[in-house]
Amino acid sequence: METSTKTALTVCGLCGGGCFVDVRLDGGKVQSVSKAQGHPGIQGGLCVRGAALKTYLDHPQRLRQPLRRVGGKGSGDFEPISWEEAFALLGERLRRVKTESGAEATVFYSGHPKWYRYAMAELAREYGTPNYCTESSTCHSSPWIAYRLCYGCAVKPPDLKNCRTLLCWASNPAYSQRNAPAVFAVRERGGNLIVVDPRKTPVSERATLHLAPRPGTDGALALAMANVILSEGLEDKAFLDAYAHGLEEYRAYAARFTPETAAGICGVPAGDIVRAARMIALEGPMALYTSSCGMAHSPGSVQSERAVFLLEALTGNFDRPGGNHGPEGKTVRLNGFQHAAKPRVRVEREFTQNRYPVWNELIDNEGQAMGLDEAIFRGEPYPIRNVIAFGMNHRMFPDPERMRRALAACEFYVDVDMFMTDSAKWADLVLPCQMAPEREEVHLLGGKRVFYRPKALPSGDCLNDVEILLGICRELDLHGPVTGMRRFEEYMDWMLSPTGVSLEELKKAPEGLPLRRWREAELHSYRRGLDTPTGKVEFVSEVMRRYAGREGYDALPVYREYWEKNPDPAAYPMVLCIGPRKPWLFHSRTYRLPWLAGLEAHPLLSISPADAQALGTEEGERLTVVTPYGRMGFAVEVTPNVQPGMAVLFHDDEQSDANELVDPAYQDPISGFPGFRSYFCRLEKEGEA
Amino acid sequence: MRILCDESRCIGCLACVVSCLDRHCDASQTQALSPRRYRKTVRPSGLMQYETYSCRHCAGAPCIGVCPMDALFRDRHGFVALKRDKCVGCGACVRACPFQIPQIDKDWKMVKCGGCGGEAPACVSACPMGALRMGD
Repeated sequence: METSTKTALTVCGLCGGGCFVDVRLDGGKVQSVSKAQGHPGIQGGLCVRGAALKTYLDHPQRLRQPLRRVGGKGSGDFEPISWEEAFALLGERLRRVKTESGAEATVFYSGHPKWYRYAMAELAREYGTPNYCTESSTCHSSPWIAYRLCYGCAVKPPDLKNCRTLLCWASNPAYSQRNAPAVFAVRERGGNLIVVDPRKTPVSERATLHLAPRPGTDGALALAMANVILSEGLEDKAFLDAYAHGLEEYRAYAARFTPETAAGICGVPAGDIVRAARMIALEGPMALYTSSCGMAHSPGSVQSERAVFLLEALTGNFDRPGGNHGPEGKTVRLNGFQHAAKPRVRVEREFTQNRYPVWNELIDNEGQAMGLDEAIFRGEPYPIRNVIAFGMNHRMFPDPERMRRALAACEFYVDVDMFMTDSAKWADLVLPCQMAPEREEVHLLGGKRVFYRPKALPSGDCLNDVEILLGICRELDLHGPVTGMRRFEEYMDWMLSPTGVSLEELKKAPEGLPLRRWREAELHSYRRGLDTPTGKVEFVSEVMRRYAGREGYDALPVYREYWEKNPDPAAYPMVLCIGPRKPWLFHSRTYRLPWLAGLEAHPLLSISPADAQALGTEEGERLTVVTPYGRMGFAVEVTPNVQPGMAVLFHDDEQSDANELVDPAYQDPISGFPGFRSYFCRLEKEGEA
Repeated sequence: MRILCDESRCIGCLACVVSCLDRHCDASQTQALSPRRYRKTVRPSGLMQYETYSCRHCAGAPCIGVCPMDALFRDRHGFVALKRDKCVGCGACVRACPFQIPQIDKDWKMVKCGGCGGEAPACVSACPMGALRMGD
């Protein structure tokens, strides 16, 4: 047995982290996984989720061949078909619907994976539909919009190595992103770590200062910190004199948020607000560490994020060493997520009808998917006849059941997935894609190197996502720069082409090759002028000013109290916060893996000891969460990590999906993001009404 | 020799628990118990978090002496190890252990850390925080 084992370098792919791992193989099956080690230039990584990789790869529910629905929708009655038949069916549907109803009657949708999105966006463009959208409809687009409003560029990452103070806001790098060692290192080298998080976490435990605001009040907290800095004269005056737009208007507005006022709104002691403000201003350089969804799932998210992001400029840490700068070298196409695709075509025909105009101005290459269910049900502004989805997860949306019914009601819905998920089950055509270790890929490594990795595992009849997209392009006889490709090798070569390295030479270099072309990370980009309407850091947004009068579209980062949207504060006195991370869960993806999902009971409703006592409940008992939109029962976890008045749930659980409790209309007006993390609820003992 | 955890570095992510399953179990063993155990604890800071622990391979381990099947023994690396085929899941070791380490799985076999039999322990290499090491 020992003789047939070997070790292969590959990528985990269980979440979006893309960690390099070594897998020990025996006869084409993974025996065990470990962090990649001993490969020059490769930084390995493994977390609790990745440790369960073999149960994911070898899962009994894996899809292995294309399936066509033969029974009723959702009946689970499918017949296996060949890829040729599947592509022919797709081609026929796409051509016919375009002829009969126009290209916009087809929606292309990508779930969580990022690596093939460029190809999908190109397919949508050349097919002619503006309706290309992704899971970024509830992830990352909100901070992207907010940052662009301030600085005209993509969110600049924190300089973890060189900052003296790290402001970790609504982010928990201990549970996601694998950055805990680098974040803790700031403290270990004598720097400050300020954590803004409603919960206690391993990161807040190590903080110099932990501010625990009521969820959804980040904007008021940031404005109060700005007010302290400005009223004490601690701002970076030289930077602001030269590069700020609207500072005086902003100063006057922020002055309304005294530390005491903000303490009343956020529940953070006024003294801590002052201390945090002084620390980020006086003990720089300060870097800001945020996340894609932490603040974003609240109805004032974009404005709150603007207020937080503006602290970078106020303290003179925008695009400076030790502050926030980078990322490097994004001229290469090796990360489909970073490298923006071309703008969508015929945006005026998108199904949301420009409901999110600032989104459309600032994110030109994909649309907001929120409201897809409505558009399908109502047939307005036109019928949506095809949904071509890769990794559809209806549980991502508020009221996922409604989205599920909409997908089932759509004339033709295709899902490409790895498992027969409860979204895929309702499709007309289900196509099996490869997992990361089953595909070959080119990667950009640190140290300005590119790297080719072959398949570590056989892929059977599964194709990779790009191969599936190119198969559709072939059926449609498209001939664009990407859509004209017929083989995955061409796509990899094209991805590599900006680097000056060819696939052929890279395949012969098992340790990778240095890039021949590279754009150095720029610093001090504000000196050349930023890509905002004024070319400056906009404390008052000239983009937003054009929409003055629309609710929530203030030119200043105005804080609006979301609690005023509570239809009956006496009936719903608690904040429902859905989605804070757990190390072993990843959205809906890990519930099917017993080694991870079995680590603790799920779903668990986390409440504070004070609330548990007031309710007369204890660990393990069941409570019903009642919101203005629905009710659902959960087992209780009593934990001091949660503040009184707050009820915390993880999302996407097939057994009881907390997202069912949230009204889709409760959303941020600018980004369309649902208010998952600051909704309203009360808790009842089960059986009581 | 045993697995030591630097609690100041541990974040309670349970990577050690799952990597232990990965090393010792087949993917089809969905009900497998991990020899690396965990329990909720409130840390001095007030944070509730999982702490992980496993067999201390005690000198004079009481489990070895109480096993009526002679299934437990000290191996050449110094670890308290199990001859699985001899174990009948009677639970004598569970009762004898002062640290609540042994568990009985659904096949009526005792489960606990065997020190990875002299190989580099899976839990130590998996810990993303570098909190674990083999030591005395």
